[in-house]
Amino acid sequence: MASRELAFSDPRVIRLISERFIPVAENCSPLQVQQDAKGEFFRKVAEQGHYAGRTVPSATRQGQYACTPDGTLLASINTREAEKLLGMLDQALQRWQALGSPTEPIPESYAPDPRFPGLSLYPHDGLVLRVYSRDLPRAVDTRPADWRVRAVNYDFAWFTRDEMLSLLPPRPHEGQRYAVPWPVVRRLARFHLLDNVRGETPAWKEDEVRAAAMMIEVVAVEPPLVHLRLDGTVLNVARGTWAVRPFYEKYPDMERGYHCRLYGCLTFDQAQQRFVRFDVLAVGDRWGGTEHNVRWDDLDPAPLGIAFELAGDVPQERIPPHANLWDYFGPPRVS
Amino acid sequence: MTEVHAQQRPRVHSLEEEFDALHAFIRPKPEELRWTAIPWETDLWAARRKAQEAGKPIFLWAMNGHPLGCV
Repeated sequence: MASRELAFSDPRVIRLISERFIPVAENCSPLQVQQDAKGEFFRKVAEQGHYAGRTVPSATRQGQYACTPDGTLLASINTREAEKLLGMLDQALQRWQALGSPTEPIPESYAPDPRFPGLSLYPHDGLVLRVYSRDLPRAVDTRPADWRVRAVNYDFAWFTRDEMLSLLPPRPHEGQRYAVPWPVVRRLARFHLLDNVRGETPAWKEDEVRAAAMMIEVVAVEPPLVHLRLDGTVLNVARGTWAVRPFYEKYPDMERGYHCRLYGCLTFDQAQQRFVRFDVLAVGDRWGGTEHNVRWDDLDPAPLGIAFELAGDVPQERIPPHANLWDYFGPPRVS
Repeated sequence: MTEVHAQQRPRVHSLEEEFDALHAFIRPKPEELRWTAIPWETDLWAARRKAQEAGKPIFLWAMNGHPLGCV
């Protein structure tokens, strides 16, 4: 996550990658295992690279790769440092010049592995939000003065058209107040009210959402616009046995949580049948850590803010939510 | 519902009054979005075809978690 701020914010890296390469970003968790032509291509490249054959301490193949369109590795590395990345890019370009461009045609499409639906579930006619998470200022701040103080993470939240429309009453009028339907509350609470500021973290399980309630009030009706206010509270708590550092020992009786209040300003355009504003905030204390969210030095309660806003409908913002999509769109809790 | 220790309860924020400032604080600043200046493709297969057509090599940023989303 820090590589965005460190390696990929360097103007030399930005220029070189933009001008001399076709840059692509993908989640390698599915690519490492998916049984289709794209997965095979990724594995062909990765097994020539920096983590080739590695199984310990993990089988991850994450990193930065330069390759030819037919899968010949030019160079690879896994780094957050701009200088090291620049060295890798130079090496790749030298090998590219020596090899030349392959001419073998690449099929236009392939049969994708259905276990990884990804973009096929993108809700074109629904609601797509950007999600940002960041630590809020602390009264007493003991964090190291490095990227951990500035860390911000990103995600996307997806809602189907039916879920989006469930946020509106049939005939809205000022002063109306009603509960947000459970599928939307569940989606937000389980999959997006998370401490992923410093790195990815598992979604909350159903029973780890200890309390969640959200209400919407119709603030004003100015046809075709309906202005809404959202408020609510959520308490998520998990207890169990886990590690708070990658590849370290797991400890029993661990606890992590997030107890937050939500507030938001929404505007729905009835003519366009879509939201034109969806600004929501979650603010509260988080505590504990997980294996990959880099909180091992910061386990005590501290304030965390999560902001939601409308995403643009461009390829770079059609990124699937971090969660397992089968669980993400799962059935609502019956109770 | 779990009993939460008092110090773990959310601090009282006047979210209504601080909404705009807090939202702006959490959202990334322009200098934090420099990496989005790179014209990232989001599909490795499409990038292969584009690279072949353009006569350029592929640069792949692969993470456990999507590099343009949550990692």
